[in-house]
Amino acid sequence: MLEVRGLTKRFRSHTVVDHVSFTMRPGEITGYLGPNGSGKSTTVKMLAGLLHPSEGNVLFNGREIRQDPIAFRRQLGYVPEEPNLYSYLTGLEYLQLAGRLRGIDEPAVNRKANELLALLGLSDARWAPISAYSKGMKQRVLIAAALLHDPEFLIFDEAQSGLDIANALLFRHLLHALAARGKTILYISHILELVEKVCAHVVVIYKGKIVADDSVDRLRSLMHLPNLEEIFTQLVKEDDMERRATDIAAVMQAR
Amino acid sequence: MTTPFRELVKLFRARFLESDALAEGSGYETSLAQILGLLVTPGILVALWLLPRYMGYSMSGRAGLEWDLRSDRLFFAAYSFTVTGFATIFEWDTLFPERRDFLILTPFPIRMRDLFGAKLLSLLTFVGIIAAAVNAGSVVLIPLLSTLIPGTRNAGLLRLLLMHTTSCAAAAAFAFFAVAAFQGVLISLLSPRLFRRLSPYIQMTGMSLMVLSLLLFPIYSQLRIIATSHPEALWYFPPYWFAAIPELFTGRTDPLFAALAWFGFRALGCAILLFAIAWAAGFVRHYRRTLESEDVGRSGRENNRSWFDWILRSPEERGVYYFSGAILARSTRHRLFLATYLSAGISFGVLVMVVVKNGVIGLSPEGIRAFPILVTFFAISGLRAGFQFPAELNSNWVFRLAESGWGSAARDATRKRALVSGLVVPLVCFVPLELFRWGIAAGLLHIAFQAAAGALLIEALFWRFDKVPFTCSYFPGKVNLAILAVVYLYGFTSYSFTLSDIEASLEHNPVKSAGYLGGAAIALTLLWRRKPKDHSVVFEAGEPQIRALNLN
Repeated sequence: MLEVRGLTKRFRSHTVVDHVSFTMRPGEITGYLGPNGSGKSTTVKMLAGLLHPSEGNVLFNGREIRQDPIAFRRQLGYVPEEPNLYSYLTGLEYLQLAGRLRGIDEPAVNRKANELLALLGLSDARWAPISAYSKGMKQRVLIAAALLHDPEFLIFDEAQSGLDIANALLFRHLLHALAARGKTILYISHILELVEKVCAHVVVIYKGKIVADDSVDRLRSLMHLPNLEEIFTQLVKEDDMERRATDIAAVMQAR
Repeated sequence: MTTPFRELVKLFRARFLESDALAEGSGYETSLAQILGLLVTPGILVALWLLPRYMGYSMSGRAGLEWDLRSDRLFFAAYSFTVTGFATIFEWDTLFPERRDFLILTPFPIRMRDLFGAKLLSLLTFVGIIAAAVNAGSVVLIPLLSTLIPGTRNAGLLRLLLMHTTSCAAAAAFAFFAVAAFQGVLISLLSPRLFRRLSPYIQMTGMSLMVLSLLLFPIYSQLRIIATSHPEALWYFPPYWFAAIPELFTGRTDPLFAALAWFGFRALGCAILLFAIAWAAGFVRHYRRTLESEDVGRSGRENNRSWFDWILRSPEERGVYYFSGAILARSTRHRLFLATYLSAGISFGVLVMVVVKNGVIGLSPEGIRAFPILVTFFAISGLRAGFQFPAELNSNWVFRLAESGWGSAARDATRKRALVSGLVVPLVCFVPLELFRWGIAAGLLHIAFQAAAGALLIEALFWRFDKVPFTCSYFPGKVNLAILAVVYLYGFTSYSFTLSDIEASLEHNPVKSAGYLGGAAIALTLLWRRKPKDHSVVFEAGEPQIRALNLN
């Protein structure tokens, strides 16, 4: 179980994440939603250890992760929002690197890397440099690298971005399969339909603060709204999108 | 008004200074200003260094003065040729638009001739600025200084200015057009894939030759000796041709140098013509074929295990070792950086090896002995410096995320990479030289001695290197270049000459040799077992003053 307690991040006087608290349970997929600039990625970077929180703490299985960050990282699989990969390496070499850095022995690294690449449809491209990969291929390499060491806690930050229909479907099933194996999963996405389908629990952040933290069903009944899209729009107080879209079209046509 | 053409010129111009090593947010203008500042300085310094000598000439002329002046002119022609050539080769990948440019720009309504013209203009502007900076100091100061000399004063300041400018500009233009034409020819003849494969090697060789051509100046500037003993050599090195151009303006033309000057003009004309044909033809072909080509991967071994695995004890060590190897093998910028170091080492080595005695050019035994030691010093210290420059810094998160107290594994892997790439590879290349020059017994002793000394040097240079190569952010501003240069100069001269003296003293003394090698083995064993207190890996060179938030 992963507990986020009062997590805060300030850059100088600007508070980007403001006392965020929520809990993620094993076998559960938690959707983490919010508009651009709401503090999602900053929260995720703090969870992944890439940013130090200004305040608050994160407990993994009851232990503060800062007490033993190394033990926590061993349990962490992370697919970042940006597909930052060493483009000089081939797909296979990248997975071998990730596996070795995780301390996996050589035969296991090679076997798992090749199997994951094959299952993710990258077998033919494994010897090509990552610089030649499409966005979806890079994304699949990142997913494979996050799974290689069988982590207990997984963060997928916009992991389906760039995936084609078949791979997006595969990814959806993968999330369920991982949850069924008791993994704790944090899933960040802007595709609300997908979040509604895969996540038992959603956390909505807006301007750095948590505005909702509950199951999708309970949110629906509490707010008397039919779907997550409506709930989200209400929670983050977005303007009338239809009207805004019409305004954009009008500006486009203006002489 | 901003036109698409201007925007394209701006875009292509900025691409010349794109680099992994540039700090985030540092602009094109800042980087260019820093580079230009560095290029202007040597011309001014050399001109000022010549001032007392030229003042001496003004008071009393002396015999052989003309040869001294020819050597001085040769320096400026060679400097202009070398730096412009080096810059052109360094920008090899951006001389033609890249695949990325075509992929991005093709959907826009841009005419091919605009693309061609913008690239050409940005290229000529960039090279023009470099050549102007390289020669800015000397084209003003040298003609002024030349008016101090009674023999040349009569030519008048304007003519002196014209002859020096023509000489330096022609040398720079030839360097640029020759390199660009060569690339045009290759692009026209080779497949895009083969061209991409060959490019790094061409760049490494070309840059090494350019550095060599500057550092070997003390040898090839012995003009009087070369012109009398090996006059044919003057036709093979372009700076000789362009340094001879001022002879055409002085009225006291030596037939040999006049012929060299005209040869230089003809060579420049040929280079421009070849550039025009090959570049125009290559551009269209490059555009079409680059878009059509796919970057397909090579096939590889199913199992990545290699014979190096026996020296790599843990998965983390293997990870860092193979990662640094892949970057060294594939990152063009890092390869070029190391090529520059290596060529500096080879140049200094040649410099100490070649001696001119009684008008005859020969080889010094001490120099031959010091040569491998010097080259390995530069190879190892080049790796030490190269490891600091990040490759795709944004991607280092995979190391930061996976780091779990394997600092000592990273440390060992880095030293092993330096040992294999910086010491074993150069020494293997030197085995034939050592065996041929010194015989089997002495040659093998030399190799063993150099291996031990190199391994100890690696321990000294990497004593506080607790990073994963190519993953740490680097702030060049923190380095005091002047102090570094002095330390470096002192370091490599004392290292190579002291060691070559020790090596000579060991040759006929088996007991001393055994003692030295045994002592080195014990020291290395102790050093390899050293466990530094802090086992964590450093990824930040220091906390930057301003951080980009990158919030979303």
